[in-house]
Amino acid sequence: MSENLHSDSLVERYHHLTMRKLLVLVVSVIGVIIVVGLFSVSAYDNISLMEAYRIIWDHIMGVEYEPRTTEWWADRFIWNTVMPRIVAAIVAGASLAAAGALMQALMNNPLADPYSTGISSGACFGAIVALVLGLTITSTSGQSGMIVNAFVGAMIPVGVVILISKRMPLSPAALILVGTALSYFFSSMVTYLLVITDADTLQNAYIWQVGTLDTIVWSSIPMMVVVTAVGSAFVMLLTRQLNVLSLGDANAKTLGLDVEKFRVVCLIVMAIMTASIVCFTGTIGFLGLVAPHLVRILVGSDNKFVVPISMAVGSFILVLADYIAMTISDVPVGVVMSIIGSPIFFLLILWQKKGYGTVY
Amino acid sequence: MDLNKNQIIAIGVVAIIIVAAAAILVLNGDDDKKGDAEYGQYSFRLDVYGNANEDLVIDDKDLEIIQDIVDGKATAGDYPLADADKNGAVDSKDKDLVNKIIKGQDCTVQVICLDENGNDVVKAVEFPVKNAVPYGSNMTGVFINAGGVDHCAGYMSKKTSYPEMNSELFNSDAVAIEISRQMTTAGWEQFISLDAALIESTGKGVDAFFVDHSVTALSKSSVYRDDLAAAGIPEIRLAVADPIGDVNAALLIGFLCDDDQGYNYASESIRAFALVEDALSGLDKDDQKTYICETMGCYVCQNDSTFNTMPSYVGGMPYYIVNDEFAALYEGTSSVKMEGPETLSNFDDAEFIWCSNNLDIQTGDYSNTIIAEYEEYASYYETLDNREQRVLINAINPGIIKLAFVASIMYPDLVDEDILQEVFDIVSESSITLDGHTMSEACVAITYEDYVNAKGA
Repeated sequence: MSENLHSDSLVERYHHLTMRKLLVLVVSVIGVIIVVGLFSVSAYDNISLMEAYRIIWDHIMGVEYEPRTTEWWADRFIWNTVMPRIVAAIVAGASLAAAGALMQALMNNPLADPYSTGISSGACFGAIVALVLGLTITSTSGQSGMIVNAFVGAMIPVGVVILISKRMPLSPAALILVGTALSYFFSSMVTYLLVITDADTLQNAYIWQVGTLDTIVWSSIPMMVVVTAVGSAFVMLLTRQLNVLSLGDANAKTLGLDVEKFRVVCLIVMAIMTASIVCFTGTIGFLGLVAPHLVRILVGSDNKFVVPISMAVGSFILVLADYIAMTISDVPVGVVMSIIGSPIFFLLILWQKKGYGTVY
Repeated sequence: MDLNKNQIIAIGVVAIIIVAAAAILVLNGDDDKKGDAEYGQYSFRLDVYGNANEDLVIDDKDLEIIQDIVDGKATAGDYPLADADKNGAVDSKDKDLVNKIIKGQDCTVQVICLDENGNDVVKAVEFPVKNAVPYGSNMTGVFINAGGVDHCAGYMSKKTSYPEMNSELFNSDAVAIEISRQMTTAGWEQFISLDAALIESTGKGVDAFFVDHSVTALSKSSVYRDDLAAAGIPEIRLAVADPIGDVNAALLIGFLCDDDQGYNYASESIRAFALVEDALSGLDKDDQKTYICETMGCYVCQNDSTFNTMPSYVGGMPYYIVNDEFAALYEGTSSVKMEGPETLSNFDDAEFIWCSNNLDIQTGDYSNTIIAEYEEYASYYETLDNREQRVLINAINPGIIKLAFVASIMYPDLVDEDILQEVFDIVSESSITLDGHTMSEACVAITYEDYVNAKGA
């Protein structure tokens, strides 16, 4: 009798958890859809919310309007100015959240995020060298030169971390410490460059540093989408191994996982995913940290669900943050992420203490 | 033909002598650069197809030329602007079009302006323009002086920046589209909303978008320019930072708006410029002053920048002509930000540094403004030998007045105070932006001496 009761309770809990997962996913997707409409109306305030959705839908369906009417302009404005930004927010949110979930699982560390290996400071250094000194790796200057610089800069710290871990096996904590040391190094170089530059360049450099989606255009999107799609598919395929790794390195090894090799491969994937985002958006903070934690509290720690749901939640958070950033006189989205990210993180810790779930 | 050894040697020797002589000629040619250089070339004309004789107006004289071409009495090749509709042939259709233009009837005219790279491009514009939008501080002043205000649907400018100078426009019914230094998404949204509102209320939207070519925001952003192209709104890009370009732009805008003000302003400017040219006719080539131009306080103008031309029209010698190192370093059409005084430390033998800045009408004692403006970027020049030869030129003044001041500062013996005043009086009388203001209030130039005097005061 009691066994049956226990079994019923387990089934009920399972259903309850499944419903939660579905609910979080659905809320995130619907949240994104709502913000897309609100964003469009805020950016082009001559149309209503329903008109905004109709115009977006019509565009997808290939409907064309009479040139230079309100609808025609709204369609152009939304698709050329608003949508690249929203698509970038969706993709960047998904990518950074997936990379955050991967990093936390890899390092067995709740404080790990995609930037823990120094990616952000490396990217920042690359971008700011282009901005302040005008030195670019490719022959192209301006925005594209800065993007290439940022991408290559982001890969340098990860490359160093991987090289060191190849030569001497390092614990996850040691890997993060190496990343932190590299971060400090690049940050000091960045600080020096910012000190010697003028006010205008300083402003541009600082905006890039905190992260912004203002500069995103359609041509930025394909690389972000392709790398995110391939990278997140790869992460999804590895969720079983990530679950094994969460048992600790020793247990994972006994279960047949080549931990060092697995970690290096995952680091490379995470680095490419993150670099492909930050080189366009700058270093948007907190997302890779907060989204996976929030999801773990709500749906548990099974990476098979944590990764995809984190991606949906990450997209929603970033789209919402960018909407808030746009409505409060175009501040960079990185500022809003920091403003909303830190209290969310604090609340998560409090919830965990109250037994609502687990942060990690 | 068989050549013996001695003949081959002789040919070799001759060849070496020819090559060496050519090399000496080429290398020595550099020494005489100053004398041979072509610079400060200009022409005043209305840049519209149909202006067959390439003067300041489209009138019966153009019609006669077109008729002569149609009759076979003249050749189209001699009159490239005679093909008014630019369809490749000069025929009766061009005559009809020019007739319509002269009568001020609705038609489509072909306008020569610039593309984003500064090359000439022809744009079709509905004539006369009724709903124009000017963009950029320098363009706003020219647009007002050309009589564009009554034909203006909206303007993109910071209303707070030059309230006196641009009062005619700011107090008009035109919609103010507030933008910051760069074009913003919010500013663009206001612009397209204005166009949609005009289309829906009157059936005619914005019909000309006048852009100052030196404004980089629009040249960088393909989204805004794509919108203009998709909507069929001609983007008329004009080099108004150039003082000659200022006059030609006023002619063009006035013509497109079918307003005589543009012609009056341009013709008076040309008359005033003739006074300066006359005064400078005695200038010896060896006495020409070399110069470097700057914008925004600390951006060195590249050789072919529109901001780099002004002093060359009044006898100034661009520094890149006499210094190969500078010429190679500053090749281009834009400007390069200075790192500090070291940027120009190798080039501080240039006799003048002209810095373009923008100032509104100044009334009362404005010593503090002079001091503040002169000191703002002084640190970029503080160790240069020619730091006292740095002159700030108030760029939003009419082009010919700026030219007269530049000439007067470089060659005070040739262009004296009386000439300066006469030029100012002629231009300001036809200028709307300077209407009722004195030469001092226009604050056209700030020299080191002005700065020292202001400090003393």
